[in-house]
Amino acid sequence: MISIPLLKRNMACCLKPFLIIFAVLCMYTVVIIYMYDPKMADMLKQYQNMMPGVMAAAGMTGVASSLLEWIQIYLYGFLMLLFPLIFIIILVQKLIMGYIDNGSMASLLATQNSRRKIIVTQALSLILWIVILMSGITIVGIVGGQVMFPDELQIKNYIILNGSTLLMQLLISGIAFLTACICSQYKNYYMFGAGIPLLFFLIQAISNIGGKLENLKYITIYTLLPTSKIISGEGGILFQNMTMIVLIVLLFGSGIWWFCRRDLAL
Amino acid sequence: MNDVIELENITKDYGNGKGVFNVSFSVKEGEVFGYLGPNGAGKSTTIRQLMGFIRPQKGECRICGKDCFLEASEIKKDVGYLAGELSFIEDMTGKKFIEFIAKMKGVTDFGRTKELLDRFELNPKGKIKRMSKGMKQKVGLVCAFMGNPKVVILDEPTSGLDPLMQNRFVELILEEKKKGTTILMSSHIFEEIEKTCDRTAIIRAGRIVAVEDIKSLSEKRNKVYKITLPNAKIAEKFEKESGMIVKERIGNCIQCIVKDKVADTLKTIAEYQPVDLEIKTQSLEEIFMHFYGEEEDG
Repeated sequence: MISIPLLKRNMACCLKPFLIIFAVLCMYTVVIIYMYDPKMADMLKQYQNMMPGVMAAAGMTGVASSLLEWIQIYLYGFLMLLFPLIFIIILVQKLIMGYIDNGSMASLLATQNSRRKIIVTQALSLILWIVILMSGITIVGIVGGQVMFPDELQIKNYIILNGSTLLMQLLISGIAFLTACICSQYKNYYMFGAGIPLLFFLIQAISNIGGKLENLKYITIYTLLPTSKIISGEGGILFQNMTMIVLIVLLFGSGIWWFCRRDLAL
Repeated sequence: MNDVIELENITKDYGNGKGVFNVSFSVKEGEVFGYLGPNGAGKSTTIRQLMGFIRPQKGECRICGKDCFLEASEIKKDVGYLAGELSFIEDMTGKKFIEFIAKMKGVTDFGRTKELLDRFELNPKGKIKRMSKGMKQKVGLVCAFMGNPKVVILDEPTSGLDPLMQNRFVELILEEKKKGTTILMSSHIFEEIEKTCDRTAIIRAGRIVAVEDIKSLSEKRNKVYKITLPNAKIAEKFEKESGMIVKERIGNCIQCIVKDKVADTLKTIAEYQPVDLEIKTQSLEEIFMHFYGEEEDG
């Protein structure tokens, strides 16, 4: 079903971007946990009162009454969405688009591996890397939280938050993956594969400002990741998660289907 | 003998007259088949369809009786391929890349690979990104022939190779021919095809204009004799009296088109005391012009 030599190659060639993005996200996670201080929370609350628009656009709304809320407000509104997005764009470029754009896909397809086998291997590598990234961050967050503020972090809810964020990242990977399977050139891939998630991201940022603009949330996929609701532990996010899973399957499935039947100008 | 590669009326229209139209030919088992045509005639487009990278809009192509698009991965077990526009995984070293392709192909015997590396005097240690066109071409050839495939498809195999390596390549093809490998190779250089192939298809502006035996094609080929005579007067006399087909006369220089009859021609020329003589073989384009009429260009 998959090609092991290609999988190995994929793991090796994406290690460098992974380490960079992982290091950046680890740094932010640790720093933000380190900065947790209820007094600081009050100060930031004042900022929010002074310039609500700016803070809200960056996804930073609400009052942090616990460490988890603090993390959710300052990490999961912006940083934990943006940096994985960059990682995804690089991954899809390295795993699929690069091979198609420069023609080296011909080297892979000239072997007895079918198109399906090749593209499924690439899709799995992509998913695997994102799972590794999110698991890594989750572990760093838990360890960091426990070391700096023992017993302060609600680990279960933190894991659920990261689980949903993982699904969101996979959904975005699905968009980039499908785009790469359809496009023949980098420019189109960047325009749609990176452009569509970025557009959703901007719409999300604008809708965060509130008021009438809040209605924009109905046209961005980031609404499927209601972080504040998730950490409150109220539940009721099953629908969002199921929707994301269905979309992920659809996006990856159609990418694979399209790749297997398309013309490749190699 | 069985037809190993078969193309039946394949058409791929890219608009503006680009593409291939109703291309049909077949390559027999153990045959070395040339695919000749000027740049942009549709050679690579045809080969991409054979490799299953693009699907013909019309017609069928098969290798070993299997559909080139639908059963591409089955076919590849027996096929070695060299792309026309080489593009490898740039950040790998040549050695890593060759090993990677060997693993992808499931080739475990590296003896053949090593022999090919020696033959082309290739040291694949450097990064592919830094390699010259010729070195990349060698890497491509090694990848195409590793694992001893039964069928080899080569798109412009000698581009970038120096004359010594071109000879090595010709030797390799002749050895493969002895082994019974079926080879399809495209080229825009007649001489290259002439040295190695049994038959050739000639494509022009996306259409096959001829499928010829190399021998009979060579025979049809004329030579152009460029004769420099002592003065314009003698040249004029030569044009009128020698009985040879004069293509053009500029001052004391004459160009004649000659087929066979080397001895007679030389004798005739000698009578006029030439100062200089140059003989060149007609180029591919000139053969087209001569044998297939001076059709509309492009």
